[in-house]
Amino acid sequence: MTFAAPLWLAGAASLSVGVVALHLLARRRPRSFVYPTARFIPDQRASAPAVDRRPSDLLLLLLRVAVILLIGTAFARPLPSPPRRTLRMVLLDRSRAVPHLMGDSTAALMHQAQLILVFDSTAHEWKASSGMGDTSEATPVGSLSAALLAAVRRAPGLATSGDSIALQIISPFATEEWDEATLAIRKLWRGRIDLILVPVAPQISPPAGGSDLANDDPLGATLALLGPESTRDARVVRTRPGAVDSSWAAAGGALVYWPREAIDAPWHTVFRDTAGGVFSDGRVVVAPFLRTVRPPDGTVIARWADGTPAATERPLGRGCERDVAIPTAIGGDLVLRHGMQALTRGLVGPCGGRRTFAPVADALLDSLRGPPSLVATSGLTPPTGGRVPASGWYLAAALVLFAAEPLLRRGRR
Amino acid sequence: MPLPLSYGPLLDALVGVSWPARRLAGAGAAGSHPSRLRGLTAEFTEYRPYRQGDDARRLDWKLLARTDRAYLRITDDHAIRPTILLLDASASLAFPEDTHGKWVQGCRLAVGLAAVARSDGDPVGLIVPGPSGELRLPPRAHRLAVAEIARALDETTPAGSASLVASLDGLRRGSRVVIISDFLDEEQALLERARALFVLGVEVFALHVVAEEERIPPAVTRLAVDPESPLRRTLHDEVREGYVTNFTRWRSALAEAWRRAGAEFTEVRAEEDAAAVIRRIVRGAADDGVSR
Repeated sequence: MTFAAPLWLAGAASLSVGVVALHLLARRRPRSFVYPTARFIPDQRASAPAVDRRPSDLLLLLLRVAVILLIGTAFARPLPSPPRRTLRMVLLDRSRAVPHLMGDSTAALMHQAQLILVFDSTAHEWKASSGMGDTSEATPVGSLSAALLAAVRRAPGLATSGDSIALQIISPFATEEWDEATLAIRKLWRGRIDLILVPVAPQISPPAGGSDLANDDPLGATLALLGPESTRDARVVRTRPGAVDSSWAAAGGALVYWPREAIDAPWHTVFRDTAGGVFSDGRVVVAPFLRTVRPPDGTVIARWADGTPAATERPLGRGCERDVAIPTAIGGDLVLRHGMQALTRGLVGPCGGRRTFAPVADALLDSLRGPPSLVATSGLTPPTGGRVPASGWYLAAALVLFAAEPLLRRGRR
Repeated sequence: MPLPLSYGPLLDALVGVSWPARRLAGAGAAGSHPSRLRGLTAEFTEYRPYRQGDDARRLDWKLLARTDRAYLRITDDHAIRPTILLLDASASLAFPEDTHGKWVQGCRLAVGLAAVARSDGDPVGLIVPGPSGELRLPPRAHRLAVAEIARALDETTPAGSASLVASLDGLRRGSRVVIISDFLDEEQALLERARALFVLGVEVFALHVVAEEERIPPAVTRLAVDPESPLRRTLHDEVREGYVTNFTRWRSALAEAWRRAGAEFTEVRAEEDAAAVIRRIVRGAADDGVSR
């Protein structure tokens, strides 16, 4: 039997020791007896506390200790000992960095696993009936942090099925899947992690992009400063995209619809004010942008200073289409500033952001593997709210003994 | 009415024991104790010249015929001594709690002394004052008197408190009263009453029953509760010696006071052999001799 909250048991044991000590050390009124010649006893009270080597009422003492221990045991949430076997949990990478074909070795690992979590930017449990699906250019960037966090949270659910858990991650461990929190979250998994490396997905070369901006278009100046490489994967249009543009995007390109005057776009007009600035992927531009419309729903890739979307992206075939509601037709040299150039570079970049499929350094992978031991389920806290039937029985027994205590005490008088 | 079996060995041990009176008996039925009166018994003592008014039946007619002198034949008279056994049945006699040793010893003394007195031909009676009334068996000399006393005592349980002094009213001159008690209540009043009885010519025996646990208190810390009062005292090591001193001093003073009042005072331990105690009591009376 294991205990979900053994501190309660330790506390109850300590309290029991205290009760025993009090029983032996308590300043008790001496037991009375009939003594006809009591009047010849000098009237002097015994004031020293009596310390008994033996408990004066062993049964009463045992009953009180039993009540405390039973309550402590009930709150410690006893659990039946799990069977002696190792459980397998698999984290399967299904981000854009992973080829969509699953190898036989991967399938074998998944077949042996008791719990499979597939992850890209988020993680969820995989059922055999749901199939493996497919990855595309629109599949989100993978997140090892999200995957590890999901594993840590789901592990207690396996606590009653085995005595240890082996965690396996099937992933190419691309650099873009690694973030600052990955190692910190990995420390929450107090055991070994088996890393099964798979090759990264081949890079898809979208059709050549470009822009058809007018000569006096300020955005053209920005793009010119960024150079032709900036629009290699994207097509920037100022007017509503046509079928040709959409088919181009569906082939793997990033179609950027960036109207010169946002008010000209067929979007909902919801503003008539100036936002103090706009930020996207860590780049911030502060300027009196006149905002009037909200871009269509999609993945937000740029936001106004107050958090409302300024640009969104939606998958389209193997590529994506992007709507940018940031006005550029304003006077001054805004479009020539470095901040605006950096912001524009991000907005006309490839779908899903820049791909960095190169695997992370071996040193980081070693840190990810961790210690050689497996995670013992005895150290895992069961899911909160889980019912532990034994606790109820222990509490009931404690209540019965608690009710019997005054009866026994009264009977001893 | 058969005698309770538990008294059998005691009564067997007292066969042949007599209880002579300490003082001359007064007028009464013929008995075994010397009487203050002179009578017509066969036990000749002396001659006395006839005086006018003497009973002519006491003239020694043979002496008158031989010597022509009128003399009265004087003989010693013997009378009975009614014996009253006054037994304290208060709660303090029910000690120790488990054995009631003091009460058991009191009963054995009462039955034993009744048997001894009865064997001398004296009528014996019993008075046991109790909270719900007084058990009183008037002095009787018939052969079942001792059995009645034993039976009555067996049916009595010591409890509560009752006045012994009130039970001593109405005792006749020339009788004998045996007070069996622990003398923890009405100490002075009882003593005064005993002194008055002694003046009246009543033989007073005071038997003070003391338990071993009273003489030597138990070596534990306990709350001592007086069974006949709300008094409570803590008995512990620091006061044990003081208690022994106080109790010993009180017993000595009690014995002295009773003896000064003219009573035969005997301290009896609850654990003692009752037959030996009774022999000591009646022998003490004999050793002292009869004061005339």
